[in-house]
Amino acid sequence: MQGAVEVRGLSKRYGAVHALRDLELTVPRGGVFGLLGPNGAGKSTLLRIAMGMVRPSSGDIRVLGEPLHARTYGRIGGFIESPRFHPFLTGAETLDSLALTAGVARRTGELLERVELSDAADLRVDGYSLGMKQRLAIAGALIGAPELIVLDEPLNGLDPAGIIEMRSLIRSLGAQEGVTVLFSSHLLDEVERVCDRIAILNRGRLVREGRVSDLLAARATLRLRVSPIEAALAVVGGKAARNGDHVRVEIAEEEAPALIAALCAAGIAVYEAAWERPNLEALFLEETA
Amino acid sequence: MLRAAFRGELFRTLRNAGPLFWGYGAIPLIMLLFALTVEIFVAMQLQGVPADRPFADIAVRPIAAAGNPIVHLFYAVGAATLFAGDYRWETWRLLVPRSRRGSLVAAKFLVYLLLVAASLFVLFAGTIAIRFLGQLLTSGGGGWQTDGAALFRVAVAALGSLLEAAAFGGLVACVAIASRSLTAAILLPFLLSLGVVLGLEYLNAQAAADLMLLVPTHAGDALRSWAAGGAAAMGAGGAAAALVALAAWTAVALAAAILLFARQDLARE
Repeated sequence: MQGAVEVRGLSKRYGAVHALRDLELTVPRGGVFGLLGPNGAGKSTLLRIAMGMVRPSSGDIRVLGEPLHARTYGRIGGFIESPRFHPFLTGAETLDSLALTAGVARRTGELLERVELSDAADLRVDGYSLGMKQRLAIAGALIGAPELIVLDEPLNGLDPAGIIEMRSLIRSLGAQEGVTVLFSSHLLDEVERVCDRIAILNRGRLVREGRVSDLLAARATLRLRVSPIEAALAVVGGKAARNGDHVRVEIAEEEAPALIAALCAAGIAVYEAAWERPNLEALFLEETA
Repeated sequence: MLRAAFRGELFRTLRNAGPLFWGYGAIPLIMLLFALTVEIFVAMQLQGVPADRPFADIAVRPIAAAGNPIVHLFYAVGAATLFAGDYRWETWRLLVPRSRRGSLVAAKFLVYLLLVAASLFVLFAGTIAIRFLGQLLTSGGGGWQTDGAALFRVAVAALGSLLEAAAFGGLVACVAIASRSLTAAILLPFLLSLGVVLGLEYLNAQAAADLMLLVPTHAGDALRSWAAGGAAAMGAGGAAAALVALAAWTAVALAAAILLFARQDLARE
């Protein structure tokens, strides 16, 4: 099956600035896919291209299996960067107008209830707080029955309770049959909690992509508290490094029992053996430094 | 897709009260109030004097507003809000993923055309009603001279006037999309319209009448003169040429706006 978004050799230049450089990326269908990167990495440019707002300078992008120029409108929902609305409309009118423009059935009451904005349905949008605007933008993204939902920084401006609710909403969207959520955020802890897979962009290029669990597991190290340390280093060899009063060993998980057995056989006392897995923040900083 | 985009655009535009009034409502209101004042004054001065006038002459006057640069300023407010508003509010991001770009621009244009038509119709109907009342007061109901041919000419002039306003709206659309600026979209077309009217005053339009029909303002004026049956009015062939010229300007302006927007990057709105 084709991916939700397939990017081949995609480049975008704004004058002398390369926003995207020969980007190769496939966002598989289903689940929540996180797009990470420092400011200027090209995330928003990629999302704007996927939503038809910006034309690539070169390369190819297919969204839901179709080239952009032939895409079926209404299969993509979402919002880019900070949410913006027509200030003279109410929240309910905003959703009504977007449904009318898309030519799909209005589900205004249901959507406002889903993002807990029913009480503010008849208030003008220019009186909304940033958090309310984020919720309204997400309600707007759900108009119709989109198969791809693009959410660019959807957690900005939300209070902790709002973040928890939004996390739950995004997870539930990603769990729906046939729905892919393409999610971008600088809140790495939230990305780690919400996303099934991630891609890290830096300076317009893809630097890492994969399942969150796999990416973090690949960087796990075995932390050993042993005595004597020098003897342990000699047994383990080049894969080990002393770190204060313990030894860090970079090995695969399945190699651990044999290693511990070898240490014991060499007469080394093993007091503690524990896996240390880096979080997404460490991975992000390592890849984008 | 165009129908859906039109419905969405009309929904939004009808709820944007300020530009809706100043763009399309103020002109009929101001001009009808002025016409009413004049008619009351005339009624007081000419009590009992018969005032038979050709209907075409009366009917063409209100629709001549479509060629007036001051009226263009008001229509520019309405059109610029439609075409530049989504840059100002950064709301293209809501609309572009939901419809074809060409449909979005065409829908805005159709909404503009509908509201300008409504504005001109209110002005036309209101003026006729005021003149009729004035006629009743001054001459006790003296008749208007009219026939089928005169009504046809008025209808053609009305269509031409609408096309003149449409071509102006297309120009506003092009400037709004190219500049992404509400102010530029209002001022540049208005100044151009004013400049053309002033320029025509200095040119001998009759000397190159056929060529001058290519200027929308002149084509609109010529059509209205033809409908009113003035002494210097052109023939039916000239009227047809003027109508074609106005339609061509409208089509070219709309096509240019759609083309500009279709190729525009919305990295910033």
